Amino acid sequence: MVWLLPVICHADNNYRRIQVTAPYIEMHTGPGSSYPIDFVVERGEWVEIRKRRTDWFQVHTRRGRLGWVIIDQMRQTRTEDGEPLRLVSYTQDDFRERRWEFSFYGGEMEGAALLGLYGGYSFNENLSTEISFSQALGDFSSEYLIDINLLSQPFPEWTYSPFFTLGSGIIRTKPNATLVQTEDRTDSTAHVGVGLRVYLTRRFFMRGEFRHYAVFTSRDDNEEFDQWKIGLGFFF
Amino acid sequence: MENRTRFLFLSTATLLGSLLLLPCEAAEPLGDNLREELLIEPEIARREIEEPEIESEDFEVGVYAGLMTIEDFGTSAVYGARLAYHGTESIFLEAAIGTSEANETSFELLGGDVQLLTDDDRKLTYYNLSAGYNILPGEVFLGGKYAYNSQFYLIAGIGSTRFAGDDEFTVNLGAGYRLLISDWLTLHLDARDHMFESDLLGETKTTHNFELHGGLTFFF
Repeated sequence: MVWLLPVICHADNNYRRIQVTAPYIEMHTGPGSSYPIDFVVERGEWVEIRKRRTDWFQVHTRRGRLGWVIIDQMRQTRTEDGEPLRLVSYTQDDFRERRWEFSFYGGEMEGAALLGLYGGYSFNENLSTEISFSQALGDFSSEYLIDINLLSQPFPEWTYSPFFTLGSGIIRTKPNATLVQTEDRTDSTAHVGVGLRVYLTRRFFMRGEFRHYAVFTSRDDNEEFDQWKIGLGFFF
Repeated sequence: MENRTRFLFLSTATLLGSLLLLPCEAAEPLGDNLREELLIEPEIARREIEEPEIESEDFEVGVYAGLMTIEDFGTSAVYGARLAYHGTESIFLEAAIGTSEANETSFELLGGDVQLLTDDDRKLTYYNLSAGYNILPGEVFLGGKYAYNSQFYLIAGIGSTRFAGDDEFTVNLGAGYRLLISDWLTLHLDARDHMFESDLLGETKTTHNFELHGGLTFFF
């Protein structure tokens, strides 16, 4: 059994230890402000941070009690080298500096209901690239779209920040089964778009967008159509 | 008055001058040897503390199984998987995918050999993207010794249902109950209404397809 000991000790040391500098911090029974406070840790005491969930931190006291502390109170502590504990909460500034974002959206495309999701990567505050998967559910056919686009956001500091987008992709049209059997077809597309991104709270944002598509068909005429969508997303 | 102005000017000038010269003056009287003696080299090297990252657990992934009533086609088993992201203590986004298989309609049962759908078309698959809001957080007590956190949530979203060869735009609406067995393991009970338009039985109507399922999820 003794050989197990170092392993256990090591595991214990694997958490960040902090010392309370506020008069006291409050431990809730769960990660939410509605859960009751059932313990307080006084100034000078050391606790271990076990994990984070949204803006709540699970801490473990030396006497073996576990509880959840909110980020504002966690900032009133210091680390082992005496520095105040720095924690990132997500604000509008972090939104400007985001690297990744994900969102899903609903909308309308040629009278059909549209839904989909996208993931984006930001090169800097102004320029990002995105890949999106959409499905348009019409009365006579379903359309599947995959698009890759570049997006420029000239005023990232604005809460209501407009953006412009340019991209291309493919569209697959699948006629409904209840209609006379016609063939599925796949064409390539290009689009331009304009939209508005709104920072909501924490890691959430909203985004509305209009896109105009051109479909390069094998027939004589190229088709064109419009797409409207609004979505809810998060970033990190 | 002139004297006073001169005095103010001179004193300011002296003060500024002494401030500027101060570091040099202070250093001047000490010889190099003396300075070395006074300087105490700190012998303790600054401790290099490698602080472990704080593990974040904002994602929840899991599977579920239950019953689904497909309008006009009876009740059958449903299986699915879900992935959720918790952005705040109250709000989460969830993506789910599930599958079920329609039974026969009463018409088919009574009609003997009549078949409305092929076996392939009886399969129902849905996916949805929803937003949820945690309300009524609580605690459940088991005996005198154990207490578990719980949450009731409302959830709504959009998605697509593939049934009888067609993809239909689907709105889902429901509520659920989350019981946190441990910090990372969660038990779910969920009731959902999947609403989509269907013209399978002649006229187009909005069908309500109720689902009741239980599931297990992990936070990571």
